[in-house]
Amino acid sequence: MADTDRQIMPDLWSILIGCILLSSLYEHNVSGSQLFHVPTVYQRIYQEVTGIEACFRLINATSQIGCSASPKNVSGVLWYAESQDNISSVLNDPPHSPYIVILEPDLFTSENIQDMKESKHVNGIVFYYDKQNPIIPELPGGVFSPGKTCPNNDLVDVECDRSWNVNGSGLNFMDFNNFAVFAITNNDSYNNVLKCYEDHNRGAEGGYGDFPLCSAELEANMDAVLSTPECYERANVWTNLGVPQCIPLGDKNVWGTLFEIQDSQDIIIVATKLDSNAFIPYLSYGANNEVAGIVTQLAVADALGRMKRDGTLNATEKAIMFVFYHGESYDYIGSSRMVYDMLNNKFPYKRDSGKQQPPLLNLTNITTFLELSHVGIQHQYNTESPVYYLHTNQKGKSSSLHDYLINITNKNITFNDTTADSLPPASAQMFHRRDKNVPVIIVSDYDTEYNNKLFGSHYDILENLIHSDMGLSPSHPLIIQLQKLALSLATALLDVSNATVNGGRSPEVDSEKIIELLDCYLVKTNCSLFREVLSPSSLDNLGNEPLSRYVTVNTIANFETQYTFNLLANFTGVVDDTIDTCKKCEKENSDSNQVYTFTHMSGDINHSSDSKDCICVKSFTHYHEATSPAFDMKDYNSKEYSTWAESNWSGISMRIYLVTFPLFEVAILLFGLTLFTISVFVTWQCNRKGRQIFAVTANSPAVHT
Amino acid sequence: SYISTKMTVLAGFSYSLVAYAIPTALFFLTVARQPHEVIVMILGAFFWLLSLLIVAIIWIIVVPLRSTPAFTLPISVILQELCRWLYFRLVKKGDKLLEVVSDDTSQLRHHKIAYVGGLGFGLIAGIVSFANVVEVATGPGVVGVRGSEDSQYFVLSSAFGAQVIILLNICWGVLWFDGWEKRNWILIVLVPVSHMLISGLSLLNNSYCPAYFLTAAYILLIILATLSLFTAGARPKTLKYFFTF
Repeated sequence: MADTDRQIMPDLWSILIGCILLSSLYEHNVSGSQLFHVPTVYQRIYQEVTGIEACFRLINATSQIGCSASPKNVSGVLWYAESQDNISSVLNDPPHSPYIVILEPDLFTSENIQDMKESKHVNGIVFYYDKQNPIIPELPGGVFSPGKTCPNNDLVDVECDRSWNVNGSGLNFMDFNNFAVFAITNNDSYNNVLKCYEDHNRGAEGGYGDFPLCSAELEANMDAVLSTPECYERANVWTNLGVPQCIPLGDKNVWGTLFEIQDSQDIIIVATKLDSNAFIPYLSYGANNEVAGIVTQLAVADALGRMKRDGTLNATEKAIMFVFYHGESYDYIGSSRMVYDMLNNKFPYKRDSGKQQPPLLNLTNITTFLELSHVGIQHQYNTESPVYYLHTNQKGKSSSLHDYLINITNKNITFNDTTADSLPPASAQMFHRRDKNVPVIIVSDYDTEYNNKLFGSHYDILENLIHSDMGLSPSHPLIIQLQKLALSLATALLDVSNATVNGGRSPEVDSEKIIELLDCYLVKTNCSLFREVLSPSSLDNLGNEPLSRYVTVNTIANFETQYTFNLLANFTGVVDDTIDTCKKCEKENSDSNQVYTFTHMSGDINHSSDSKDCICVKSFTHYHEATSPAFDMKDYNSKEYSTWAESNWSGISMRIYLVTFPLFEVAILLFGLTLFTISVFVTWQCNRKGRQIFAVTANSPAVHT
Repeated sequence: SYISTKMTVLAGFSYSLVAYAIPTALFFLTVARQPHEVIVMILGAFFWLLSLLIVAIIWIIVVPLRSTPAFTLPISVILQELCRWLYFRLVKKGDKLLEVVSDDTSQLRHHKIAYVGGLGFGLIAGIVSFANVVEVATGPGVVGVRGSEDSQYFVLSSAFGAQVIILLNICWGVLWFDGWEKRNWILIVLVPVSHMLISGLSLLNNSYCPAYFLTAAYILLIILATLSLFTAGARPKTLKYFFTF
């Protein structure tokens, strides 16, 4: 016996597995049909809800915004709000407070959210959002804008003297402490939650039910508190091991030119912003904030790039630089960084005599800064003669680009001067505040108030631009508007940059390309255009959802940045036919040459036939660091530069379960105590009288066998 | 009114009371004062864990049958009884020493030791089978989110199940030791057969109606407890001493 014992090595895992198995046996839970799947006790009590996108905490120099379910997880009885009455009812002394409200999207208004936040009867909100087929709900007046009335008005020297976003409620920048708002994007999970509510919580006449009630627990505990300076201060305490519980927001700007920049060449910057924001950050799609602008700008780059490649466009006297700024929704991270680098002689690259570099650029090189900001929603949305407004800081002075656009005729597009006196929120502000002599022109679809009624919300989706069930086609008004805008800008740029054009030909903007770009950014990323311009290894990341355009933290590279870079390179660059594999193309990029880049793309090659697996595009497209200078300078209180950072969190999850009335458990306690008391009595008495009760054996001597 | 959350830690404690109240009382009042009996009891617990270890190893080796509790259960019963037998052999070897330490030369000592061994076996079996259920029950939720598949009394019936298994193990201990001591083949066969039968019965239940298992187990308990008392030396006429001062 002892030998066999020695040969068995105690195996902790087998004991654990054995324990789990045997305890499941003793749960007496196996019927014939269930012989093969035994749920655990945890699974009988809790159901995990998957597919969650959460509202989480962001911090800046002075405040914290967003949601945090702390100090302990947020939980409450489920309540389904289908009508405004349901909301009033739950705010007015409901019986089983507190609650988690399942909100119908029609009721997702700033007032409702704020009322529920302030009420002690509501601890959190969940709602359904279908990422693959999002639809805009029937909101009151068709308006839901949780953005600020004057976005990015926190930095010093930024112009903000009117409510550009007239419908703005500022919900995105409010603090929701001890509150959680989750979007459930998985249809099955959401139906489970609703079913649990229907089965247990819906009382008579749609009123309140009785125990047992279905409850939910939301976990979203944010580690950073109060503000960015606080976050970094706490990192200095030894108990945190010196790691701050927040990470700065940021990513990379994408910029590129058609031709190599010459020394002391003047540049014309054509800019738009790459990121967007929303109350649930990962549901930021921003169709008119700024996908319409991105698509237009890419269409212009494509038109000019084609002219370059077919020999029509030989050179431009002034360089045309296309820039896509990232992080602009959070106090102009990308554009402020570019200005900062320009002023410190670090743009585009820090001087290194051992490398081939483009010339250093400064604000004085910029002859015009043209920005596209909100170009997708006309006042009369189905017009085929769009009107755009020019906001400029050179009022009264003559500027060639401004005058060219104002004077365009017979193309069924009109550019008007804005009636406002100041610049709207735009990346151009970062250039304007440092040097008022940099001529800035912002092209927008609005004059003094945003046309975008869903600005800053997760419903700023393609439907917000299209307004109807009409599919996208070259005859759709939106496509006609954007095509005309791109064409006007392309011809204006050629004129103003003193381009050398052969045969007096004009640029052609491809409507099909505009349609494809809108489809790729706003409908699903698994589209043929993306499949062509991305490398084969990136194709796995493409899916059936629109592109999420929140800037995220600066340690994560967003897909959107890479996709836009590849698009710009593809449109403005030249295919190098001598390189036909991905690896060879990669190798062409050398550290010592920072003038051009080689980008390998899948192309439309028939991969099975040749040994060729990539096309190699040589272009003047670059990335530029888009992290706020405040973090480089460690000035976390900065009012000059963005100090936005995202809080760390250890888990974001949700589960539903039933709760019963408290007396049930008290009853069991009383039963247990009674049982204990009785058994103590009986045992004590038995023990005392043992020798008499068991007299037969107690009085016989032991037999030793 | 967030009483529910805090109450559920109390709920965990309450369920533990239901399952472990009787054996805890038994331990503190009849075993704890005698150190040698405590040691014997813990040794019993160890032998039960040994059986669990061997079952686990078999379960890992025989991969295709991992998802069939119907296979593992008979093996587990057989191994428990085997380890109970090994335990008996070990205790018998230490019999002379136990006699000296306990200062008791009567036959009752053998039965007391058997009872203590059964208590050890039973307690560890009860802890292993029920402890994780208690741990989950201390959370805010109660059983029932899956609808009609689970009864709200799931945890409570698990508690009773653990309790009855512990008490049955005490009876099995007494009967098994006496059977092997006196070569009483009726008792030697009775213990594993009744164990196998009652465990098999648990397989045929679903969680919504554990009534079959619990009823049968308690009836078996009454029968075996009577038999154990008789074996240990109690007779109908000596029972009256329980009610005296």
